Order: sequence, then C-alpha cells, then structure tokens
Amino acid sequence: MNKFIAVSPRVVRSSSRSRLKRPASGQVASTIYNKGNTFLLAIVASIGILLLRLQGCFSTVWLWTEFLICISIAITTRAYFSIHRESTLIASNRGGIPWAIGSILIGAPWGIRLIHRYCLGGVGEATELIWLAMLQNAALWQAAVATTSKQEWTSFLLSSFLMLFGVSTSDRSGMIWIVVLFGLLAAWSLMARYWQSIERGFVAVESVPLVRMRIVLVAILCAVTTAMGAVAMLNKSTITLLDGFMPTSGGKKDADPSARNGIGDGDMLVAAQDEAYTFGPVDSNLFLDSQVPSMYDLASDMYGEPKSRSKKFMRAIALNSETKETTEEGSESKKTGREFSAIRHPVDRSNPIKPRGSQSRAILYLIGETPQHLRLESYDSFDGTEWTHSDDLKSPQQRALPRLRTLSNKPWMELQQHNASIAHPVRERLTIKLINIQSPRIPSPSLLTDIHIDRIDQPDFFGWTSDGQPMMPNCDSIPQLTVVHQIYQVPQLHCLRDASDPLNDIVASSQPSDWLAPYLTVPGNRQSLRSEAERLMQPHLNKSPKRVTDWVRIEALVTALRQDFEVDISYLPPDSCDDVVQHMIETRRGPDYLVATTASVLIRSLGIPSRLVTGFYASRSRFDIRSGQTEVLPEDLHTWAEVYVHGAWLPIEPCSQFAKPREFRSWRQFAIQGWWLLCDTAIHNPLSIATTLFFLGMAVYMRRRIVDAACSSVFLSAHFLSIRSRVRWSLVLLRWRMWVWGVQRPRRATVRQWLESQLVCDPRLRPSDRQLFVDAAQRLAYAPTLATTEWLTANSVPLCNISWAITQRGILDLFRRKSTGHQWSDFQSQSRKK
Amino acid sequence: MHQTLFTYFGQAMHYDFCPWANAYVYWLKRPIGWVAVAFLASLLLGVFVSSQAFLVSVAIFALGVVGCLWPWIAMVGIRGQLSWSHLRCEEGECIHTTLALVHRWPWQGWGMIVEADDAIASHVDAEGQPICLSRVPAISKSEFEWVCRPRIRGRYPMRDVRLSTAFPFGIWTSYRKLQVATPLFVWPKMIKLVDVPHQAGSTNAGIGTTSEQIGDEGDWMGVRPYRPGDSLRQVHWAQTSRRDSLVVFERQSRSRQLVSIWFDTYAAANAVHEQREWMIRILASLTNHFLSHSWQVRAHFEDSWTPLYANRSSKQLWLDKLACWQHNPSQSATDRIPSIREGVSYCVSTASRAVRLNRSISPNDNAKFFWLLVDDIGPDESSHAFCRSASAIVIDVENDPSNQLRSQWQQLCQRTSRVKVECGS
Repeated sequence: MNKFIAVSPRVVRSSSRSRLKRPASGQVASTIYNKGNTFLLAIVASIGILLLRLQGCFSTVWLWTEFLICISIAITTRAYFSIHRESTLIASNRGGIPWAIGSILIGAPWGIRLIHRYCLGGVGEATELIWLAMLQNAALWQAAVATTSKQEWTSFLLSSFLMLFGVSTSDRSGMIWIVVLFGLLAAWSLMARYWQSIERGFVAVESVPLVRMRIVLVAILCAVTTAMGAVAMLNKSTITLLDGFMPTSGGKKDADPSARNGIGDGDMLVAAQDEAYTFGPVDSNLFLDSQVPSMYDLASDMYGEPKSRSKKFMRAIALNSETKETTEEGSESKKTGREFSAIRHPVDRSNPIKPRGSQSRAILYLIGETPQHLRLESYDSFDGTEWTHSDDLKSPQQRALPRLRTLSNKPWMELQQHNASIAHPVRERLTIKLINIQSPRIPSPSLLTDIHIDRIDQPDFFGWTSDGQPMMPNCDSIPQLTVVHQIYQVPQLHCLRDASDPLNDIVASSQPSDWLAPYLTVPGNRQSLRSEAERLMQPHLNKSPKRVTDWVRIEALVTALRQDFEVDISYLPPDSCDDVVQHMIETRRGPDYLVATTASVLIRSLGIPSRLVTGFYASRSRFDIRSGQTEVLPEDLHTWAEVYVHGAWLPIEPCSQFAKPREFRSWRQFAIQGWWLLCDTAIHNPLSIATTLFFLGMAVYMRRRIVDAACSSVFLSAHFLSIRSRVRWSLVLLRWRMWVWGVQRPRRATVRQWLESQLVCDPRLRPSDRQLFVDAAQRLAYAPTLATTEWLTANSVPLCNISWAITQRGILDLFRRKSTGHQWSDFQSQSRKK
Repeated sequence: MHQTLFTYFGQAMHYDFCPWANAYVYWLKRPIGWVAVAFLASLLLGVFVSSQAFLVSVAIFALGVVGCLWPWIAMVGIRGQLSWSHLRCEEGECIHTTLALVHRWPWQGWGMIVEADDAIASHVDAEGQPICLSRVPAISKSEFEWVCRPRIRGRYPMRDVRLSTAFPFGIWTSYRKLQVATPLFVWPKMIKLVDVPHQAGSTNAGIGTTSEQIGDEGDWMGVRPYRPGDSLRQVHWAQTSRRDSLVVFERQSRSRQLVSIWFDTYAAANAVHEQREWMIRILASLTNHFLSHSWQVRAHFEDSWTPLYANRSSKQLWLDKLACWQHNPSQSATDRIPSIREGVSYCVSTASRAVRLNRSISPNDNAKFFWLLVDDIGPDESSHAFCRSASAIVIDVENDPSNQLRSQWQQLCQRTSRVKVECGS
C-alpha cells in the first residue's frame, strides 16, 4: 500500500513523527503576521477616510501632509515596538510612549484645524470630518501599539466602522476598490486569527489515499463544465437570470417606481441622464425650451453643411395669383430630411461637437452587445452626388401593423420576422435610452424583431417610415429620456458563403421584386462600375473557394475597400465633382459616407440591392464597466451600407476604422476561421513567426532558469533590508529555487544536511561560509530573538556576502551552460549512488 | 501615573455595568454576531443612505455564508474513530492516542480541532492546548497520533468526543461526533510500596491440601532475598553465607494472611478534590500491594465488603470500580467500624474523621487496626495527638504525598515487625 506522510511544516523539523510543533518560531511569526495585517487594515481604512475628506477638502496639501505625518508616526511606532518586542511586551516596560504617541495622533486633526483657522486665516475642515479623522488615527494608534488580541480587535472594529462609513458617504469610484481591498485583507485577517488559535496543537498525519486524487478532480471538472455548458446551451437566458433581481434597484423586470441610487432609478425620481434604465418626468418644464439636435443637425455638425448646387432655371409663364383659403393650420414636418448630400462644406473641428440645450454630450445610452450599428435612416436613390429616399417604397413586411404580445408580463410589439436561414434563432436584447436626439425614428439594429417601451401597449404607437425604419408616428420626436427595449437577431451568414447551399444566390432572389428596383440603379455606366468592382475584389477572391457566391463577392469587395481605401473625414471632393464614386475610386480617400456610397454603388453594379444608411456606431471603447452601458456621442454618427438578402437588410462595413457588424458563428466556423487566420499570418510573416517560435522554444527550454532569475531579481531588493531579513529572504529564495528545479528534501535528511548539500554546489562559498549560513538559518528558526539578533549583527559582513552570492547565482545561471539546478540534480544522483 | 491611569481605564472598560443584559447579548460576543450586526448595518445604510453600502452588505453576507457553509460541508464528509494503545492505564501514565479519520471530499480539510476531555485531547508536551489537525488529506484514510497523559482517574471519554472546525474565518463552528472504539479506564495512581507488615497467616484457604501460593508452611518452593518483616526462622543460612546477604525460604501455604481495608466513603465524599483523590490512590495502592503478595484482601467500599483475589480479572474489576467511582456528597455518615474477627485491618480516611471513628473500635481490635489518613486538619487542632500515634499514617497531599506514603508505610511495617518480635521474645 502506498503510504505517504504529510505533516505540517513545523512537524517536519522535529525528529519524532508525532511530536508537536515548537511554539517558538511559528507562533511568533503568525502573531506578528496577524498583527501586521491589522495594521495594514488600519492603513487601508485611513486611505478610505482620506478619500472621503478630500471631497470636502479645504486644502489638499494640508490634508496630504497631515495624513503622511500620521502614517509615518504610526509606522515608526510599530517598527519600534516590533524590534523591541521582547522588552516592550509588558506594558510597564513601555513607559508613557504609547500614550504620548496616541495623544499626538488623535489630536493632530484638531491641531491642524486650529493652525489653519487662526494662524493662516482659513476655515479648516468640517467638525464631523475632524472627528472622523481622529477616529481614524485612533485605529492606527491601536494597531501600532497593540500587544493583546483585544487591542487588535478594537483596531479592527474601528477600521471596519470607518470603511462602512466611508463607503456610505463617498461616491468616489476609488472607494469601491479600497473597500474591496479592505474586504480581502479583513477576510485574510480572520483566517490568520483562526489559524493562530489552533496552530500550537497540530499533530502529524499519516494518510492512505482512497482513490487517485487527480482522476477525481479531472472527473469533477469535466462534469461541472459539461453541466454548465448544457445549461447555457439549453437556455441562454439562464446566464442573464439574475438581471433585475433586486426590486428596489429599479430597472428591468421588477422595477420599483420609488427606487433610487440603485442599479437604475425609478420613475419617481427626477430623471437622471446618466443611466440607461432610468425613467423620469419627461414632460417637465426642464426640457421644454431645450434645443435638441435633429439628425440633420448632427450630420451637418459631423460632416459639414451640404453645398448648394447651382440652380437649374427653366422658362415659365406667370399665371394669375389665386390664393386658396384654408382652415388648416400649418404643421411642422415630422419627417427628417430626405436627402443626404455627398458634397459638403468642410467642418471646423477645433471645438468638439456638443448638443445644444443639454449638459450631457451623450446622444443615447445603450445596454447590450457592442460594437453595434444602430440604423436611423436609409437612402435608396443616388444621382452621383446626392442620396434620397422615396416615400412610397415599402417592403411587404413593413406594410403590416405591429402585433402586440406579452413577454415577461410586459407589452412588446412584434414588428417583423426574418428568414430563419439567415437570422440566428437565439434573440438578443438591446436597451437604448434617448438623450439628445430629436426624431420620431427609433435607432435599431438591422434584424430588429420586437420593441417595447414601458407601459405602451397600443400597436398604433409604432409604425414604419418609408425607408423601413421603426418610428413613433404620433409624435414629432420621441420624448427625451425614453427607454426603448429591443429584441433583435444576429445574422448567420455561413449559408451565404456555402456554394452548395440554395440560399447563396442573392442576385436571383432579388430580381422578381419590383419595389427593389431603386436599390439596384446606379449613376453612370453600370458596366464600367461592374468592371471596377471586379478589379477591386479580384485579389481577395483568389483566396476564396473555387465557386464564388454572391456574398463572398460582397465580402471581397468590402475587404478591398477596408484595405485599399483610407477614411479621412477632412478629405472632401471638389465642388465641381459630379460623380463622387468615380472620384473615390481614383483618390481612394475620403469620409466614411463616401466610402459607404462607393461600396453601395459597386454592389448595386453587381446586381445586388444595396442602400446607404446613416445612424450611430456604438463603440466598445465607450463601454462603461461601472454602469454596464455604452455611451453614444455625436462623434459616433456614422454612415455605412446595407445589402438586401432574402428579405432582410444586412449591414456591411466598408470603413476600416469601424468593426465589422456582428454575425453568428458556430464553434466549428470559429475554429476554421482561426486556423485560416493563423495560416495566413504564417504565410505572410514567416520570419516573425520563426523568430517568435524560436524564442518561445527557448523560453520553454529555459523556463526554470528564467523563473529562477526572475525570483532572484525580486530578491535583490532584500539587500537593502536588515541582516535578519536578508538571511530570511535568502532562505526563502533557496526554497523557491528548489521548488522550481523540482529538488526535494530526502525524508531522512535534517535541515542542516539538506541546506549544506544545496550550498555545496556553489564553488564560491567556502565550507566555513556554508557552515555559517546554516548556523544562521537554525538560529533564526529556533534561537531566542535577542540572542539571534546579536549573533547576526556580529557576523553581518560574511552573511551579507553569502546572501548576495546566493541571490546573484540565480541571475548568473541564466547565462551559464550548467545551472545550479542541474548541479543539484547531479549532486543528488551522486549522493544516492554513494 | 500613566500606569495607574491605564489600569483604571482598563478596569472601567471591562467593568460589567449591566450584567442582567448578558443573557440577551451573549450572541453578540460570538463572531457570527458581529457579522450579523455588520450585515444589518450595511443593509440599512444601503437602503437609507447610499446604495454603495449594498456592496459591503453583499461582501459581508458572502463572508458569513462561506464562513458557515464551509465548516458545515467540511464536517459532512468526515467520519472518525478514537482509540488508544492500551485499554487501561494509571494516572500520569503516557498513552498513545490515535484518531482515524475517513475523509470523503475531494478537497482537503483544514484547521480542525478534536474536542474531548483535556486528559485525552491534549498532547503531553502542551497540556491544555487542544489537539488540532492542520489538514486532512482529500479522499483518504488518515491517522493522527499523539501522546496524552491523563492525570485524573476515570472512564474516558467522559463526554462526547467531537471534531470541530471553524475554518476559514472562525465565525461559525461545525461539529462531527467521533466514535470511540473502547473506553479508556484510567486507574488511580498506585504508589509502589516495598514492605509487607508481619503477620502469620490464619485463614485456611485451601482445605485439606497445601496451596500453590507462597507461604510459610508446606514444602519449599524456592528462595528469595530477605525483606523486612520476614521471620528469622525462614532464613536459609547456607545460601546466606554463600551470598553474603540474607536469603529466606519460600514455602507453600495452606493459609493466607487476611487483610481488611475499610474505606471511609463519607469522608471521601466530603473532602476536597485533591484529598479525595489521594484517599482513592492510597486505597488502590494498598489493595494492589497486598494482592501482589497474595494476601487475602477484602475491602469495604460503598457500604459493602468486596473480596479481592490476586488474579488479573479480579484486580481489573476492582481498579475499574475505583476509576469510575464518583463521590456522592449526600452520602450518609457511618461513625462505627464493624469489629474485626481476624487478620489485620486498615482504615483509609481523613484525619478529622479518624478521631471519631477510633472511638467505635473495641480495645481488643486496637492492636491490629491501622489508620491511613489524609491530613485535612489545621496545625492547631487537638486531634494531632491521635495522628501521631504509632498506628496511623498521615499524608499531607500538598507535599509530595507519594514519597510520604512510601516512607511512612515502611516505618509502619517496621514498627509492627518490631512489636511482633518483642512479643515473640
């Protein structure tokens, strides 16, 4: 039977298997460690309180000075009592020093306030903050001078109270991290305290394993992973099960109207503009006079004003003036501009774009997957310089009214359904809060299926614009701060790339539809545009499979545009330009709307319906971890193109600065794509790959030397410490080094034999040096503190040299042919043979 | 000055101003109480002050849950049994204790404590410190062994043996009862006495035949060195002259010396703990000593006479009985010792009771009645005179009682031998 003996470290040192651990070194070490932890907790709590005080700060310099002085005094005190621990363990031996230090520390905030107020003519700090600072210093003082566990507890409780107070009254984000750090340290402190209480009674253990541990662990890991995977695959909503769990936090399902300061705020609170889930009194006077920008304003700010074209005059005959009386009042147009000019004035970008009438710069907030292309408006007709959209163009789906259905006890409007072959069945959710945009159109992803606004359960509240965008037809613009929830699908495009799939022929499927005709017209000569498109996509088609599908051609064209065309928003075509597409093909440089225009026109030339789309690009870089939402700013206004594929408009992104629209890929597709990417990188960068592989191989081969050298480099800093610490750290380094090299102490070897056998491999260490170092190690482990300190001080010079040699050895081994680890292994094998 | 201030401050801080409230706030003194209060406080702060405090409450809740669930789960997967290297031992003897644990969880168990009587759950080198297990390997049968030294007689374990852990945070302790293979009997400490009082055997133990026991009659069975109290008639002079030291015959015996030991249960029940224990130890030492010399012993213990024999099982039963005896303070007093028909008698009692009991002994019995007393009287008491009499041994439990008993017993044996010799001459 395979038996092994697992004993605690201190039992290892004793000769008898069942002998108890010596309480001398371990207990003291543990006590000091725990005490150090309490002190660290007090310091962390002090930093938290300092953050709080800095909020209402009268003088940052004074506050920091006071803090640093108090911390310095506390650290010095603690260091003094730690060094003279033996003599100061009894309170009577300490004299009045602790009380004097306590008075200084606790009185410091009051003193500084008085000085600031009466000597410097300032106002000082608020009284409650002064009391808080005094409490903070009391905790520091207790931790610094503590000799009993009760004093440590007092300090611990004071620190905990301060942290709780601090986190409740401060809204600084840094406070969260301080609390996290404090929590970790406090948990560690509790563990150390418990361990300290039991460690004196440890006994040895002799064990027989019932089963192979590794097999059990692997089996459990596999089972758990499989179970989690199964749950996630069966029901994806399980992952987001806890969304909106806390009812008082406002927000999703169980929102409480009176919630505040939670994850989201409730309706009763004055509407805040920082959180996507907050609702508010949107018809408040606060917003009546605001000048919220429309889409036209945003486009003008972003791209510049459209240039007025030279007027075309026609001859006409003047008729009699007949005015028709009407009782109808003049109404404001609810529609946005139906034109999008590709010829624009340059924009002065010295000042950032800022929406008028609001303090917040955000156009909207988005909660959901990013990056996301949010479509707002699309254009079907292009005359070479200007895009327009027709009023009577509607796809069959858009003619139907939304259908009301209930999901999670909420009224949702089902707008449309998409072809199951190109839309992945798992639906995703998106939430948008509109802040600074004046438009009845609802920004949405391409494959939108359902929409929901809280408490709106009438289908006629929603409708379609002529260009196929969901809107709210009964209002001039969607009220500010409205939160719109959407459900959409992600395209799955594999069937379009697969030549054997019947869906791959996009051109044939779009021919019979008459309403698609405008999306296929191109300005100028279609044939020349087609040949230009073929020429652009040709280099990228060579890498593709033999039989090229329509979607592969689109992707090749998009890749060509992303690689060969430079997006430069300030590079505009001249006023005299009549065909911006031709201009872009020649210059290969321009703003994103021109690149998108080029992409759309070239795709049309291939016989595939396409259109230009303006909207917002929600970038992943603007994601705020704290609030879990993405901010969309005026600069995120973007233009791209869409392609009509089997009843759905799929976005394509021809600008290299922006990420490609998301698509669903199975694991197999991911793996194939990754493999191709790897092969492609390897083929195009053979030298870099070879160099990387060489260095990786070397790193693997020299992994132990590298780790050894890294550890030794870290330990170089220990040479500025006291001689006791140096020897201690050298021992730790030796132990690490043995672990790295996989060298284990034989069962029957004593500590002295073992250490000497390790040091004998270093030729620079003489036998007397080795003897001295082992003596020092044993004294540190077993001898009384004071006597050891005296002995170490007397032998400090040779011990310093020895520890320096041990540390240096690890770094120099990196360049030696035969390292210390190899020598150890050789030495061990020789010893065994003997 | 500062020290005085510190002392006053410390006393004031630790003074219990409202002891009546302790029963209601005792839970607050436990770590789990602190965690509960902190959780409640942070929760209230989260609701009424700032939602950031919810973060703290969640952290504290997590701490509490982990701190309670971990020990509970750790204890669910563990079983154990406690056993000893010997089933019986004397007070103060070292004995190896083994705790066999079967751990069925695939992770290690850390920081466990064996909770039992201090006598058995404490290492001989660190008495008072409970036995702790730093780690119990995963899915294994483990054996933990330590040496304990029970100093108080009894049948161990006297209470449930439990394995407990509060790892990792020490805020909640979970328990698992351990099985005990066989109980451990800790006999009273028996002082090794050397001398035997001189007394001719009078009881015919084996009717019609000679006994195989060593005695003074019948055939020779062997020789042995002389012990004080042996008759000069038994000296083997030839061997004595060869060895240059006294050697005596050992003959068969048809008769045994009879000794009666009367244990004053009432005195023991009303004595202080240490005196009571020493009374038991004296009784055990006497019976053991006489049985080892094959005397016929009968002991009056707990209101009845118990005959004791020199075989192993009888001795074990007797000592087990002594180990398990618990005093009863409401024990009725017996001021009269029954008359002794034959043999010698010893009474184990306290000095204060001996004076009263002595009055009940008839003058004829006085010569063969001896007292082994534990000193429970002050220095000015008049009963000291009785204690100094030739027939009494008085042990002061605070001043090396073992040596006192040994030396005074030797003196007593010598005195009785001298009296016998003088009477014989």
